[in-house]
Amino acid sequence: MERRLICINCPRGCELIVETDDTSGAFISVEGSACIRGSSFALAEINRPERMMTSVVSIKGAKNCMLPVISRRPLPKAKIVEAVRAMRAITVDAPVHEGDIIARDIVGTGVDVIAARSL
Amino acid sequence: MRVLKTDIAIIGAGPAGLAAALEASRLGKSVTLIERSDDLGGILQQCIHDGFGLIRFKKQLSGPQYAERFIEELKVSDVSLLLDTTVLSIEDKVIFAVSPKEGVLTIHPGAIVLAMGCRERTRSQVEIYGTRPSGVMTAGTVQRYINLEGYLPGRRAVILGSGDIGLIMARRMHLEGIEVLGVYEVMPEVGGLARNVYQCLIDYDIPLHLSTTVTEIFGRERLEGVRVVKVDEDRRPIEGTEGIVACDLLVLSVGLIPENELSRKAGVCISPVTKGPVLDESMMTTVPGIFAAGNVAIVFDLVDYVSDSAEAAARGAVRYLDGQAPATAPLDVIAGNNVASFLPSRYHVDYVGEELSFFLRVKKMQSNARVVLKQGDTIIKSKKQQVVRPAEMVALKLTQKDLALIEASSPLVLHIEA
Repeated sequence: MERRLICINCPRGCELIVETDDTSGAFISVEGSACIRGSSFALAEINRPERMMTSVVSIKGAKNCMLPVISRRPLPKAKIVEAVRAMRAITVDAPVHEGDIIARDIVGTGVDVIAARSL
Repeated sequence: MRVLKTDIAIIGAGPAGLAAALEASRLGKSVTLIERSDDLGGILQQCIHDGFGLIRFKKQLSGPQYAERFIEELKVSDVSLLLDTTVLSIEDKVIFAVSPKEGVLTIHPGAIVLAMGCRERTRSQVEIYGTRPSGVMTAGTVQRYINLEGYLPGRRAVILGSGDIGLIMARRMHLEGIEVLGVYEVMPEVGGLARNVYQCLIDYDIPLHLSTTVTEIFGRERLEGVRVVKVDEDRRPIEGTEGIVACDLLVLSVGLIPENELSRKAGVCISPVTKGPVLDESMMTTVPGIFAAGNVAIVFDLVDYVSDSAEAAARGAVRYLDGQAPATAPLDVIAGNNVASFLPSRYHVDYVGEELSFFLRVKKMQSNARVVLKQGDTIIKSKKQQVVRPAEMVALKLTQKDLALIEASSPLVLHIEA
């Protein structure tokens, strides 16, 4: 089966044409990528799609009331909604430094969430 | 009233202002950075999504992370910072500003870098008929409510315009529990990057309606709904295709315009093409000693280019102060086939800086394109590009060897060949 994807690794947005096995759905080949990252993206997108998670958490004692956060690595795509929801329950106290761990092992993914700025 | 002297004054501490301040300071000049809010980083602080800095840092950072790299460097630099300080006007290269702490400030700089960024087009600029309820706002305002202030500005949203901010906010609203009913785009093509359609709309099954627009707004106190209609090639509504969508939030992502109120007061010429100041290769305006950087000059697609343009402006300002500014009359740069806007619009043959990038945006999508800078019949520089799209800026980098080909004769023409 043929699947069409857009690589999200850079603004160029290569259109990838991925050939998968009709019965097993397994990855066979990919075309259309301008660089090596396109092929690894296609492979991941077929087997285990991943996305970075960015959101905000509440912060007390800072000039702003929200602190932007980001996952240290991409999460399984299916876990993003749940992870963003989990951020709503978090409140941290200032001062926070960029890179500080805000939540460990978010929604059982093994990925930590860190502060995206100092506040 | 406090009076300040500085080598270079920079107006705006967003990505352009930060990069310009650091570059000028690295080159040994005294720098005063003036910012009207109480925070550094400008719009980056509310752009919490990732994808920034791929060219400059070889990483996909979120907006605040990108800003933080400059802010950290600024903290250990000699740059003087004036936060909470609004510039009211620039007259004869003297800056008048106000702050709640200091009252009126007068700043006498040797050179000025304008880095005020851009503004979003609003409802009145796209002329949508109807009542004036609350719940109609720009994508950047929604972004500010959700990411900086922690409010959800509605429950059921319609997005008009498919620029990148609109696509990013479609996903953001969806993830925060706002029902996103659809993105409506008057043009037959999507306005933002393909990767944002993929990861913001397709990932979450948010519908995209091309060649469709919003023609009427309903609701007395609060928005109750909008009328949507399909349009033909001339963007005229097609009868019988109207529909009403019930919603309490209309998000406008209908384009950005360089913010040049101060530039006009300073007396610089504004280009009808870029909507920003007429600039030379060093980002100098038509007023000697006043430079422009980032989205105040032209709306860039990537923040990496904003930072680059700001550093170029800072180097230009330093050369100006050191008496190395070009002395010849500039050549004009002209837009040829399929070029919508571009930078720079003037070039001095006695420019002494290093390599130089020309930036342009195309009017319409073109495959197997060749981007060409010509003078008469001489090709100064050209490059092949698989596809050019209005949403993406094209950079044409010229080395000193390329620049040496330019003669003090006729205008330069920037165009796209098939």
